[in-house]
Parts: sequence; C-alpha cells; structure tokens
Amino acid sequence: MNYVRMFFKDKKILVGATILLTMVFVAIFARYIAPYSPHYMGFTPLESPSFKHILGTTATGQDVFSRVIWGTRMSLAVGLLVGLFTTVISVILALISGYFGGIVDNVISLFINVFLVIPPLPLMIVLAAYMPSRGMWTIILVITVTGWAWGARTLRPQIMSLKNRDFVKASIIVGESSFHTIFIDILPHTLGLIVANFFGTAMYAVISEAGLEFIGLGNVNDISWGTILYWAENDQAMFFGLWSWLLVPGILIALLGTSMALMNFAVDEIINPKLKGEKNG
Amino acid sequence: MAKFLQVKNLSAGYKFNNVTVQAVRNVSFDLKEGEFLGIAGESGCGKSTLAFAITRTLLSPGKIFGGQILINGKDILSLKEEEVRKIRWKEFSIVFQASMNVLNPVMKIKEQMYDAIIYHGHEYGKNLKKRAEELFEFVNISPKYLDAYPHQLSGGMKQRVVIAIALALNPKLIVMDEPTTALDVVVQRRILQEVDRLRKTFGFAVIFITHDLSLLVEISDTLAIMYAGEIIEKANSREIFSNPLHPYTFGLMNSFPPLMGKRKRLHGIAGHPPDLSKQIKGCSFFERCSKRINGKCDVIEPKLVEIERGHFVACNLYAKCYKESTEYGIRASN
Amino acid sequence: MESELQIENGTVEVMRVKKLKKIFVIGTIKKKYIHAVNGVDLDVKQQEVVALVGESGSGKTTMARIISRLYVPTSGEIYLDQKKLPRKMRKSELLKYRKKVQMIFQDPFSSLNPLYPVKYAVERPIKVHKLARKDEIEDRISELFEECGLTPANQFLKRYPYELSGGQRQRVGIARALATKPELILADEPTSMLDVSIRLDIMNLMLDLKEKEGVSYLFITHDLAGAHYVADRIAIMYAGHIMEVGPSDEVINDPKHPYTQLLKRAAPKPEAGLEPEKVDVGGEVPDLANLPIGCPFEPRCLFAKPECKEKLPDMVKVGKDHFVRCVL
Repeated sequence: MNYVRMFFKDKKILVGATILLTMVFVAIFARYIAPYSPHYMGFTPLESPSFKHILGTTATGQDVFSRVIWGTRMSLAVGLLVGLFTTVISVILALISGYFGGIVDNVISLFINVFLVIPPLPLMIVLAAYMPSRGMWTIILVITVTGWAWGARTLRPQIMSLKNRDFVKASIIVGESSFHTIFIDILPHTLGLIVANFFGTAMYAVISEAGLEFIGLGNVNDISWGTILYWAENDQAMFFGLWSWLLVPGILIALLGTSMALMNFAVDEIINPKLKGEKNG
Repeated sequence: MAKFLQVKNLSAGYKFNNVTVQAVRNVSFDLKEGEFLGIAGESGCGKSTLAFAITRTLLSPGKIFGGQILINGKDILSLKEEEVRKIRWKEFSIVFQASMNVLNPVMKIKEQMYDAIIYHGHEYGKNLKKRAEELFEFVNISPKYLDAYPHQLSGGMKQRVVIAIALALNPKLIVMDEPTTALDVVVQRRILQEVDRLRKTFGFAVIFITHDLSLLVEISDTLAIMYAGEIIEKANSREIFSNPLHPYTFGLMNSFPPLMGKRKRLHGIAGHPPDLSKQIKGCSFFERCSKRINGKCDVIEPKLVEIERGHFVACNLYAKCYKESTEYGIRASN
Repeated sequence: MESELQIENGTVEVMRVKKLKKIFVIGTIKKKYIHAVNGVDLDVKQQEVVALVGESGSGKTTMARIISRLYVPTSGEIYLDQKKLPRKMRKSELLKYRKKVQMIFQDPFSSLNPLYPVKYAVERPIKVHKLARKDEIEDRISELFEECGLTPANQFLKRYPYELSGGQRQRVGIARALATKPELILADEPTSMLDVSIRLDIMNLMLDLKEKEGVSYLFITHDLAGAHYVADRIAIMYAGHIMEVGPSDEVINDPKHPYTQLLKRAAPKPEAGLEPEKVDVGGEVPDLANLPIGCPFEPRCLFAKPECKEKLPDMVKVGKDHFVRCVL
C-alpha cells in the first residue's frame, strides 16, 4: 500500500533498482548480447580495444567484452544467492532465539557472537583454500558461512521487542499456536529489516566473491568479474597498457555493490523514517 | 498582583507536507506572579503544544501561526533564539513528562546539576556544591544522592531532581507538562505538594498541564479547560468544580467516579474530539454536546467571555457569550 | 486461614489462587532475585469484579500474567472452577484454559496488531477455538463489535487500528476478550491510558457485559476511585503481598490497613471539602530484590511497632469477607 508508493518516490531505490535490473537483464540475455563465445581463444592475443573487440582481448586471445557480459551471471548469482541463504539462516535463528528466549537464546546468541568476532576475510580465505572442490557453489558456501551472523544479530532484538508488545501477548492468550504468532503476527513487522539485510549481505557477497576470485581462490576457469580480474593481473594487463581489461570489471563490481547498498539504505530509511532527518516525527 | 505572563490570540500547530494541524487556536490568558494555573484537557487538545509555544521549545514541524506571548511585557516570540536562551531558566523553566529520562545515565547527578547551573549563568559559580545541596533540600531529597547515578533513583526521585534543576536559577515561572503522569498516585501527590510548597516559599508562578483534572482541582488556584485547541472555560478551580458552566467541563467533572459515598452509575462524554487538521465551523464541542442548539452552535463560534466575576466561558448557552460571539462572528465574516 | 477465606454466601467460585509466588531471576553470574509476588491468596466468584489495587512494583501486573499463563509461577496453586491446574499443561488443556480466561490490556495502542484490520483481532479467537461455523463467523464478529458499542459494526470491521480512537480500540480489545465467552477476564489497567471522559464508558461497558454475559473480572488498577466504581471487592497489594481485602464500600469507607489509608488520602478527591488535605507520604517502595523479613510496609508505616520488623503479620478477619494483614 503505502510502501509501494514510497518505493517509487525514493530516488535511491530508483537508481539502485535500475542498475540491478539492467544487470539481471544482461545476465539473462548474455547469449544474445555477447558478440562472441567467452571461451573462444582464436583471436589475436593482447589486442587493444577496437571496434571488433570493444574491450580488447586477453593473453589467450579471448574477447574481454564477451567475458564481461557472461561474467555478469556469476557475480549476480553469487550476490543474490548468498543474500537469500544468509537471510534464511539469520531469520530462522533470530526468530528461534528472540521468540523462545532462555537457554536456546543463550546458545544461539553465543554462536552469533562467535561468528561476528571472527574476521571474515581470513576465515573466507582459509575455508576457500581447504575446500575439496572449487567453483561457484564453494564460494557461495564460504561467503554464506562468514556473512549470516550480522543479519541475525540485528534481527534478534527486533523479534524480542516485538514479542513483548501487547498484541503478541494477546495472541498467546487468545490461544494461537507459536507458529501463527511467529509467522503471522511477528514476522511481517520485520520485513523491511529483512529486505534491507538481504541487500546488505548481497553487496557484501558481490565484493567478497570478486576478492576471492581475484586472489585465485575460486575456480580460475569460471567466468566471473573476479576471474577476469585475476587473469588480467596474472597476464600483466597493466604492463601491456590494456586498462579496459582491468578497469571495466572493477567498475562493474563497484556499480553492483553500489546498487545493492542504495537499496539497503533506502529500505532502511523507509522502515526507520528517523534516518531521513528532520521530516516526519 | 502584576501580570507576569500574557498570552494573546496565540495560534500554533504543526505543518506536515500538505496538512496543517491547528493544535492551539486563538488562545489568550494572563498569569499573575506566583499564580498556580492548571490547564486540563484530553489528549490531542493542544495543551502540550501550548506549553511548547510558551517556552519557545516548539520544534519543527511545529509552528507558531500567530499571536503574542509577553513575559514581563516583552514579546518572547519576536526574540532571537540566543536571546531566548539567555532568559530561559532565569525567567521561566520547563519540566516535561519525560524529563526524568533526560538525565544522562552515565553522569553523576551532581555533575548534571552543575552543568545546568553553569550553562545558564555564573551567579553561583563558586558555590555550586552548596547551591546543589540547597536545591536538593528544597525538593526533599537527601544531598547524598548528588553522588548517585540516575539509575539508583526511583522515578519519583528523578522527577524531583529535574524539578530541582528547573528551580536552580530562581525562575519566576515553571511550566510543567504532565510531570507526574508516569508516576504512582502516592508519589504524584507528594510531588504536587512539594511544588506547591516551593511556590509559596519562592513566589514563582506555575503552569501545570495535565489530563488528570481531579488532582488539579485540589491544588491549583485557577483552572483552564482546553478542548480542541481552545480554552473553553477558565475560573477559580473551586468555582469551576462546584459550578461548571460549559457542558464539556460539566461532563468532565462527572467523568471521574467519586472515591467515597454510594456507588452509582455515571456516564462519560460520548464521541471524540474533532479533527484539528480540518476547519471547525461553529462550536468545536458541538458534535458531543448534550445541550447543543442546532442552527446556533453549529454556526457561531463561541468566544471566551467573562460571565461571572473571574469566570470565563466560551459557550453559546450563555446570552452574554452568544451576543459577543455573534458580533465577533459577524465582524469576522465581514 | 485458607478456609477462612472460603466465603459462605453460596456463589460459585471461578478462580482461586493459593500461596502464589513469583521470583524473577535477573543476571547470569551475579544473580538477583526479584520477589514480585510473595504468596498471594485470592479468589474471584462468578459474576464478581475483584479489583487488585497497588502502585507500580506491587506485583499486580505479574499476578495477571501468572493467571493468564504468560508466566509460570515459582510456587503456588491455581484453581479454575474448583479444579487445580497442573503446573505444566498439555496443549489441549492450555487451549481450554485460554478459552475460559481472557485478558484486556492496558495500552490499546499496542494491544492490536497494526498490520491487520481490527476485525482480525476478534476473528482469531473464534477461529482458534472453532466457536462458529465458517459462514457464521462474520455475523459473530459483527455481533461482538456491536455488543461492545462499535455500532454499526460494518463501519469498523475493515478499519486499521490507527484509524480508531483510543476508546474505540479498547472496545475492540474487549470484544476480543469476549469472543471466547470466557468465565474470567483479567483487565490490566484497562482505562489508565484513556482520556478521562472515555474511562467511564469503558468501565460501564465492562459492567454491562458482566450483567449480560455473567463474566467475572479481575480488575487491576492503581486508581482507588475507579476500583470502587467497578469492583465488588477490593484487594490492596503492596510489595507482592495482599495487605487488605474486602467489600469495596468497606475498604474505601473504613480502610483498616495503614497502607490503604495512605492510598485513600493520596487519591485525588475533588469532592472532599475545600481545603486540600496535606498528606504525609514519606518513604519509598521497598526494593523487591531485598525485602524486609517483617511487614514490607513497616518502614513507611506511621503506626509501626517493634514486632512488625520481625514477622510478616497474618491475615486477620475484621468483618464479613474483610481481611487485613496488620497487627493493629
């Protein structure tokens, strides 16, 4: 109702959504947008940008532009899937912890706090390095493991305070099941926070994935913006003056991160009008 | 006694994107030095907005639409913010409902008291500690609590600390907006008694705003009843209790069951106050009034008129009031 | 003493609590024990309104939450319809209990879920307890709304809580409590957040429903005058103990316990004479983590005797149905 209108009025959301949707479009129709196959190695290696190869070619003679277009798929997929998985994990844990309280809460809180104090980057590197297989799913798993705790941490006190609201007590006294109370009475109040949290971790995932791929902890034969950067670095793109090979995937990663950050901020503002400054009391 | 505060045709309210809420509508009253004025009304009647306006603490989106507020003949609405800050706490001070939450939880009470005193004037510069102890004695808290942190004090004590801070610079007026609402009956009574005693000792005036009419009747000199942003009746509090003239006041007076005596069925006032974001035609109480006169009350807005000595009322039931209101109404519409 | 509390006038007892205690434990390492309710005996009979009066921290709200089974008591027994409740209830038993014991909340702004139209609040209990056939649910909701003074019902059903005034919301809250046709309604300060001019109407509605539906109330309040207005009996609570219990008129007009007397003097009473009474109201409510062994009111009591410090006084019968916990 109200939220839908606010959604479209908000410039941050509009910009963020435009970027994100464009990338989703590119990812879905990569086959038609990319001029060549991303795997084809028959072009002259290390060519500068030209009409034939907008972003030049790689050391193994692949078209960089086609690789960038195809790479959108994996970067987006990792971002969105990690967002989804972390959200599901953090919502479930926060609900159980916040609603039932007591010992369950103590155990889950301890668990959350442990994951919060572990520095994510080293853990990610260690996990990724020792994983038996490499590839997208490994990376998703690694980032999810290191990234879910923050969401649970922010959601838990919300659930706890909602649980103490009179309408929840009323539900309990009416005789509602815990299931109904949690999912129908409490959860809808936290939707905004959950959505904001989704975009927050998705942004974190996009950047982490690029980082992991860049230092070669992913499968270097996958095509993603991170691996493009890895190869650019590996094959000394800078030395050959092939700026576009490095710059374009870098900018795209930043852009995708920005779009998700914008959505995160905007949703945050909608659910918490105080952040918007003096307007509305 | 001299008039200390004069409020003339004050209108104030809130402006949101495209809605204007007229929370205080054309309110005028005088306050003598040392007078205890109670202002009572239901939630949303504009009584808090009035308190904010008088103390110049009405923040955006709140706005003063018009009128004058004279303190000792000086119009404080025309003063700049810095000038107001100079006289605030010296001429008048404020105690709000949530005041006790204003205390900083990680600072000792005494530091907060010193801060307040130093910030607003240096008069007590060297004798800060003595002054703080003195103030605590005024409000009946043992000075040993100066070294305590806020969480070590009960709600009633915190509220008394805030009152002590308000007293620090010997103001001539203290505006209290529901200072006791969150407190228990026994504590409430105790604080009110203390305020009354201090007022008689130091001679400051008090504007006490609350929705709890029954306490006010006992303690205040003068009582003003607000409804939908207007003062609809004002008189000596005993007079207003024994002889309420406005049907709303009458209804309010009968809304609290007596503590003693036989139990009998009483009735409140049906309906609810009008929406202040819309224009109100005629009397604002018309919809809920049991004595309304169709064709009269829904057309003519009654003016606050002195019906008996010192007893003001705004109701078309009274000939004098109706007469003046019609003239006013005709003049206004011209 | 328990048998003394059994009252001889033949009416049926709906609810009784015996030696009810609730101790809250705060903190994990440095534990603090908050003695909120300290052995309360109280009963409510059919179609009776019992007011539980006390200041904040007296344990009155905790009492309501124990009886509504939001809290589990530390010790003590609860009887409903003369049957003792087990400490742990099975789901079906609990559901049956919830049907019979309902609650009205203090804050009408937070007791209705802001995301759903107000109809939802009344519809749920009917559905949960299967109290109407599917095609009759709507009619039953309308009937309840109108019974609670929200007429015509179809003007209110689809509105959201924020579109209603405080008084109207509280009526919805009452309709929700009434939906299961309960025997006992726990009313936790149902009027304290409402405007003065609306309070009486809500209390009148509760009294009307008592006559019509034969429901009993445990009316929790800090307002002695309000308690006197609605209640048949008044119980005065202080620091988790009941200090005095008896018929309303007697407790108000002839209070026996010094604390009741203090409450009475502190209560606003504009109708009493011209000179406002000066009340000597010293002292603070005792710390519930650190209760005295003797009478909890002793430090503030004007009539305290040495023995008050040593032992909690027993309940003494001072009149028909009228008991006082005081040595005087």
